[in-house]
Parts: sequence; structure tokens; C-alpha cells
Amino acid sequence: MREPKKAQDEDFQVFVVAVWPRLLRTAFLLTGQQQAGEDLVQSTLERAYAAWGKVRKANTPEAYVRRILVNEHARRLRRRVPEQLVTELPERAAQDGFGGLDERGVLLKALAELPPRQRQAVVLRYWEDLSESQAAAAMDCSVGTVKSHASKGIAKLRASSALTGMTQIKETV
Amino acid sequence: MSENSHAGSAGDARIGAGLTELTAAVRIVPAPLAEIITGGRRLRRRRNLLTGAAALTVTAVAAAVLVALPGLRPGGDGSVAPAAAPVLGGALPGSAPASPSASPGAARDPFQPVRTLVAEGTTDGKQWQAWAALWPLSTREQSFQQAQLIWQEQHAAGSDLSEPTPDYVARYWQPTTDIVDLYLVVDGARLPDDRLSDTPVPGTAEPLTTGPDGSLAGWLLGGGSDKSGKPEVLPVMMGAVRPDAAKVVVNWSNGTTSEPRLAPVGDSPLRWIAVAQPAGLHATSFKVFAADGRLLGTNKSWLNG
Repeated sequence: MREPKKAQDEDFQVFVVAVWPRLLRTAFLLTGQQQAGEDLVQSTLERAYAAWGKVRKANTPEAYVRRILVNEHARRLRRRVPEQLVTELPERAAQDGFGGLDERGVLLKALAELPPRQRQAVVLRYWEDLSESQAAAAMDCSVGTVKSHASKGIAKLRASSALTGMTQIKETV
Repeated sequence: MSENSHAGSAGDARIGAGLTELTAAVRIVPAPLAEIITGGRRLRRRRNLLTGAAALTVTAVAAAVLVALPGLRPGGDGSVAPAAAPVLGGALPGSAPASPSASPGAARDPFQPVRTLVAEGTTDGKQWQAWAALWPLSTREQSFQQAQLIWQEQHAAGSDLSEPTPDYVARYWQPTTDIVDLYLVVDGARLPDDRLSDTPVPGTAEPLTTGPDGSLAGWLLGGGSDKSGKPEVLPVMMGAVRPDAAKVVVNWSNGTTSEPRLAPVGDSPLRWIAVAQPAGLHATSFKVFAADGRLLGTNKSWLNG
């Protein structure tokens, strides 16, 4: 018997409130922008809502939604034609980019310069703290591919001269 | 660190710490629950129409329609010509925008969309056209064929949406709504992104738009950028307004205004607008007025997110 629509909506809303902050942070690292991150998470959760019956029955709904997020991020990059609701006009974009040349900006810029799949692998492994198999599930690829992308991504971050002074990565490895 | 966590070096840990530091600067704004659910419902309906397996009969119909719609066939150079109005006499690209594309009382064919050129212009040397294709209500039995045709158009334009399935389409078929497909044609090629919007079948229901205040629902189309971040096409805002709307005023962030034309699309009770977002500006409000000058609604709140 199907659950009443209202109950499903309430269930979904509770879920959204719980996962929104972390998804927003992950999306920020993937996109490099506050507004773009918000858009990405909103799109992700819209897709999660559209498939809520399946998402909520997953062993870990959060992992399911994280996979949607990564897919949505990849889809946007492929098409490079963002489709946005007018409700999400990028009016703050100018102040959210990489304008600030502080250390955060340097790391964010270095991250943004990684190829998308390497960026995803780095974010999932080193921010989300996922295992290789979990990251592989999120990226819909093999563990070996995750290893490769993460390794290359980290190597590029380490090699970033702008970052060496900030994190002393080279010295500590 | 759990067994699931990455077993990295101290340097790797520093990178993790650096990323954490970055995320600390993220503003955790409230989740836009209403917008997410509205968008999710729209997406669910779209998926219902557009997910699934093909059928031979539908392929035949789709092929026939593509023949009838030369504007939808990819050109030899990979471009897609502007969509011309088919059987029902819609506006042709380059003709005066906003002219009705179907005569009153014309038969409604769920497999023949009625196209209207809502607006057009030139930005940075690129000619853009904002189109609305009204797909009239189908029967439940026809809905899969219609979904296939819509998908064929999207696919021809380069969309990566999956093909529809009969079960999915039939399950979510709605008996009182037409479908309007909003899309852009830039320099003769239809962009892959589009927006499908439900719109009430004439006479079946109070024609409401989906905006939170009931006055205007809209989307941004286009707005993509190249690798350097330079916009390829300025975003165009398309929206629907209620039948008694006579004028829409868009207020831009520099204090200027635009008054996009209200375009009837087929026999839909709603009216449609399209307006290009000027470079460096954003809309601060859409105001919808009745013929007597009465303000029917303003959408400043949802424009500002």
C-alpha cells in the first residue's frame, strides 16, 4: 500500500534539512562558488524528490543522494549550459568566485583547476572521507579509477606552488 | 579515522583539513524546501514523460513528425535549424514574435505541437530565439507516443535525457494539462537544454501558474559559458503569466526596465514571455499588471531566492 503523499513529503523534508548543510559544502568544493553550489544541491534534491520512493528505501539514502550530486555535477560540466530556475538568479555570483586572493582562494582555485573527475575524487576522498569503494559508487566508476583520479588530483595539489607555502604539503609528505 | 576513511599521509590530511577549512566559509542558507519540492514534482512529471523504452510504432510516428518538422532535423553541418511551426500554422522564425500559432477552434493534435516564437533578439552578435511548443493533451493511450516525440526533439538537439518508457508515461499521465516545451534557438541551432512545463487545457481548470504567488512562473534558459568563463549565450528568462495579465515589467538591477510581449501559445489560457538578461545585470522583480493597470503580482521575493 502506498504511503500518503503528504507523509512522503514530510519524510523528504526531514531528510533535506538533515543533509542540506553537508551537501552544500560538498557542492561548494565541486563548483567553487556559493551560488553554484546552492543550485547544484537544489537540483540534486529535486532529483532526489522525483525518485524519493527509491531513495528512501536505499540502505544509505545519503550515499544515494551523494551519487546524484556527483552525477548532476558531471552533467552540468558536460553540457556547460546551466539551466536555472529564475528563483535562483546568480545575483551573488560576482562576489562568490575566486576573487579573494587569500589562502582559501588559493586552495579553492587549485581545486577548481583540477579536471572534474579528479576534483570529484579528491573531494569525496579527502573531504567526504569516503573509502575508495564508496567514492567509486558515488562516481559510478571502478575503485581503480577512483584511485587514479584521486592520486593525480592530490599530486597536482601538492605540486601547486601557491599551495606549498600555505599547507607545507611537500615538506610533510 | 574509520576503516572507510582514506589512509593518507600527513600531507593528505592537510589537504583534507584545507578542504574542511574551505567549507567552513560556506554560508549555510536555509534549504529552499518549497522550491525543491516544486522542482522535484516538475521533474518527476518530466521523467514520467521522458523515460523508457522505444516502440516501433512510435519510431515511425517520430520519423514522420521529424520529416514534417524540418527545423528539428540536424543539418548537415551538425546544426539544427530553427523550429518552424508545423501543421497548425505557427510563427516562423524571423516573423513577428508573439503571434498566435493556431487559429481558434483548430483541431488539437497531441502529436503536432503548436510553436510560437515568443521573443527573439541579438546579443553579442548571436541571434537567439525563444520558442514555446505546446503539445496538446493526449489520451493516456497516446501519451507514450507523445512523450517519444518530445524526446526525439530533445535528442535531436543534443539532450542526454533518457528515452521514455510506456509504463512510466502512463502512470503519470495527467488528464487536464497540456505540455509546453520551452527552448532556445541560437544562430539557427536549438540548444540541448529545455524546460517542460504543465499548462492547463483550455476550459478544464482554473489556469494557474506555478509561481508561489500564483502570478508568474519562470525559468532561465541558456547562460552557458566557455572554458574561460565567458558567456556563450546570455541567459534568457521565459515565463508564463495568467490570462488576465496585460503587461509584464521586468526591473533590472541598474534601474532600467523591460516590457516583454505577452505571447499566446496555441489555445493555452496562459501567456508567455521571454526576455534576455542584459550582461552584468539581474532582474530585481517581475511585475504583472492587468489591463486596467492593477498590479496582479510581483515576484521579487522568489527572484531573490
